[in-house]
Amino acid sequence: MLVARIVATVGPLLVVISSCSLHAAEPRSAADLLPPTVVAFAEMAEPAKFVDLVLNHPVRQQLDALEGIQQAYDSPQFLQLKAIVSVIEAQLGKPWPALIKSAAAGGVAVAVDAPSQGAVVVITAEDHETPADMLESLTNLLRADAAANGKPEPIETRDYRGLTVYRVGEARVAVLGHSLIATNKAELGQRIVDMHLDASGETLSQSDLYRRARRQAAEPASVWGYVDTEALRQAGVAKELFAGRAENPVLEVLVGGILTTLAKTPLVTISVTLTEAELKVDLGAPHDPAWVGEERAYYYGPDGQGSAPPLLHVKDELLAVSSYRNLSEMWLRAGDLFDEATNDQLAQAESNLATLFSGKDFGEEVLGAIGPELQFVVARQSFDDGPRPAIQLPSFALAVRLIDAETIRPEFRRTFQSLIGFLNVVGAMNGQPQLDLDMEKSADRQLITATYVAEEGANMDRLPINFNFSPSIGFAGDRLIVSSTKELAKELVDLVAIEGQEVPPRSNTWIQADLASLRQILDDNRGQLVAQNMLSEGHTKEEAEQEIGTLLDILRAGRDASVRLTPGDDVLHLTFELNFSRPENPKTR
Amino acid sequence: MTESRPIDPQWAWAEYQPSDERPWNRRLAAHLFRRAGFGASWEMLAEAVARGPAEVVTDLLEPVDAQQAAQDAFAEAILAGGDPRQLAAWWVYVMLQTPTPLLENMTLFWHGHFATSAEKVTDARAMYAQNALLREHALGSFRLLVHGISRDPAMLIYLDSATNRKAHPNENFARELMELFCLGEGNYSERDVKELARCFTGWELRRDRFRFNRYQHDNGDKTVLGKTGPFPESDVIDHVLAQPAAPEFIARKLIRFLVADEPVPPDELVAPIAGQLRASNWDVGQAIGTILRSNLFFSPYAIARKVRSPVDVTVGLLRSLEATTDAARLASELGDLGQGLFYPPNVKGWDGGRTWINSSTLLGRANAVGRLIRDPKTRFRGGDLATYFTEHLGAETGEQVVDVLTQLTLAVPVSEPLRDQLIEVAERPGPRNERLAAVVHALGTLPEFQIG
Repeated sequence: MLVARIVATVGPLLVVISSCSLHAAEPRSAADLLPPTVVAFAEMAEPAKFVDLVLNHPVRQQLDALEGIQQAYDSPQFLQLKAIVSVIEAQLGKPWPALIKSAAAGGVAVAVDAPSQGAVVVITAEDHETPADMLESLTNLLRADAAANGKPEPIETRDYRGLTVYRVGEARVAVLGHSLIATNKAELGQRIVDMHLDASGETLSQSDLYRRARRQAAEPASVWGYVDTEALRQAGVAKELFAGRAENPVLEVLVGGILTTLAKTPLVTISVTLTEAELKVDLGAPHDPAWVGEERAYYYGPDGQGSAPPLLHVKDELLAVSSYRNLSEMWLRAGDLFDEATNDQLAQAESNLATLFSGKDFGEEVLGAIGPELQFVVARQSFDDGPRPAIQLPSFALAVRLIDAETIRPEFRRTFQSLIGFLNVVGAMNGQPQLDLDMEKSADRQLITATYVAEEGANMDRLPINFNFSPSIGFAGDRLIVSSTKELAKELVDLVAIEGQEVPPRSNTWIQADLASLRQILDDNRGQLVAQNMLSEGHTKEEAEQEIGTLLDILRAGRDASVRLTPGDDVLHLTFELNFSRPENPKTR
Repeated sequence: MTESRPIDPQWAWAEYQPSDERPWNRRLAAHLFRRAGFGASWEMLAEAVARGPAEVVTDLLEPVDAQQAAQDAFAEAILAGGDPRQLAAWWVYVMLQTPTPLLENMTLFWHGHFATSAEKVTDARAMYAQNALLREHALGSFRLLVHGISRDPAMLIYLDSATNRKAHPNENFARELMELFCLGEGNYSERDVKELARCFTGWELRRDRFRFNRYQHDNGDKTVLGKTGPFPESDVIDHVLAQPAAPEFIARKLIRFLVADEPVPPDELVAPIAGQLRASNWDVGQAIGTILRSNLFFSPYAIARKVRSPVDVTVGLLRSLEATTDAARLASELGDLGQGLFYPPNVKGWDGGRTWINSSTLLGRANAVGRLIRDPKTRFRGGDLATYFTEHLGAETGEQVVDVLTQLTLAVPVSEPLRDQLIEVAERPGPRNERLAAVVHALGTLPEFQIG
């Protein structure tokens, strides 16, 4: 049974190797072995180093100390996996990290080939004996398992130009020099072997696209790879992704510019870098500002020079976003960006919004009054001193610059007051609590707030969800703040005057998340999370509390995360970063 | 209760005394737990056999106060989301975990009796408040329950009685009070409905709370069910409950719920229970105690004489195997099977009996059993099915597995050929967990599994 499980576990790698008479003197890289028709390629150059880093990573040590993780290690599933690994280690005479070190010393690569539509894995060892030894053991294991279960010989062998090729299911495997080659398509395997034995024909490493990708990918990276997007477009793969249109206003605002690039770019590279301090994933795509048509000028700005403003940092911040988007231009260009159905919906929305804004043209006059530099923040709310809703949501706010502040400010103020009046009428009809309007003024700052009034006798510690909100707008100079709460609006009105914080070089969009705040917000709602866990998992209260506790503890491992979209001179970069907490100094609040 | 063999009421309601001819055993204990509260585990059955029927029924009737506080705190957390569907999941969870299954079962009974749907009410907190009211009086005073329900916001919203002005009395609640809640059809006239509706004028909701608006109350004399007077406050409810038809109506419904779906219990069988209700000032717990301790309850007139509701099938199976599962998913499935908690189909509640079964629901019930038993989130005393059978039921062989399972889940023994087939399923090659699941699933498809 155990062997059967091993077979199931390593099924995709049902690999058996021949000992080939043709041993190369020096190991060749995967790109030297593969054909230039590969359309997707990824490589981990130093798997042993990567595994070593993961095994000794401070985050792993932090997680290992958690009771929930310890229990997972003791689970039957994990123990079963450990037993399988032990059998393999016993067969091959080495612990698995050492096995990886020798068997994949030259790296591991995976690739997809276009003509054969096949996938290939290349594992390069430190010498030519290691793959053969390892595979001999695995062969024995497979055969022993088949014999024990009364199954027929699982491995089919055949000779191809002096090489023994082993076939198990759809997988075909052979050894070339120091490398183990496994593929699901015979045609692809033959081509690789022919290229190697004949020493003829262009290899992947000689192709222009590969070289360009190699240059573009960030160095040093734990894993790097690329995709030939031109080939994918021609093959009709993921048509929607490469069509260049979002057909959805929210998606358009978020990724419209990226879709422009994907529709034209010849390749996309990926670099994954893991260090003790961070995990970084960088996606890069060659980008030419000339590709951006007029309809997407709202996204990148004139001549592609639009730049996100500084991030706003507030107390107990969960998320800070800054972005360049000319929303008025996008709204007015909707006819070029979206299909008929979406445009009809936008026209309907415009009609309703025009009513709210006293007949003003929403695209031209309302959005047109706002500059393209957008700042958005989300923060944990503290209910320590006041009424407390049963579910505690974070507050959020948008800060923008008004183009003609003196003229438009009274319009926004009146609209906000009308909106609160409307909400009160609707709320009264539905038995909802009412909003109490208030105004604060000092120097050039003005704050209009609306606060929910709790009913007499209400449980002030378990108020309805409405009490997370005290919708407010604030004005400071030419800045407008629209906030879900009075407190955040107040803080931002004071903050927006401060400029020059953390301006990334030509970032189009920058998002930063504080994981300690996220953890705190989840912790504020621990009771709800526990109750939901009980219902959805059937757990007892104690089990649910432990599971939620473990989840919150796992979040301690991360300090903050960010996403940045940066249009360089000729490459568009989308970069994700996760910074880990140091075990001795976890960021807690 | 067949017409050919009339039942002696005196014998029927006399307390069952175990004897050599009618021994108290695991089968009868399982019958008691299935009817009283969704089934019992193997261990509970063994304990019940040792204690005797009278003591077990007394325990079933006892509320556990400490549990209520935890239950309420759990409900509060769910109510914060304001979604009545989550409330249904909460109730499934409570049914699976409760140490007072009879209380939950009778709360479910009253939920069907005073049917109110969240489909219309939409306010989860109001639905929960009604559920708490039903639970508070489920084994207590029916009189207090009717008084409470007449001022219950969820009920008033459901019956469009949120406003009731003297110029336009709303007849909905007045009609249902007599027809569905207290007397039954044929025991009142249309004139009684109109007059009774006048008594409830001025009873209204303001901001989801009951309010008596004295300016909208009709203070004039009304003639209801043969008595004339102004009927101030809620005196008229006591007047309705004082009708001879009232205890008979409730007693008959309790007997059908706890003893047998069919045939309708004859008057002479109903009379003693109705008399007990009247004499005890509507103490429902006493009447239920009498029914559950009776000769009739432990006789062939009761055993395997009810079609199991979707809750009985699913919650019953899980409780029998000490299982926990994804309550939200099960609550949703109960809706698909025709018994959505907090979502009864109409003001009459669930018809029950044969109406639970049709070609579609029969397949759905079997599928639900198969799905539940294989759901990775379903855990049996915290572990998997194989471990549960081996360590807690001591069932290793196919024969042992089938015998334990049939005793736990079926009201009638299976035939020998069927037993052999089930044993064959249990002994097929393959992982033990899957084999055991296949046996339970196979049981779920049997006609025998649909009756309890």
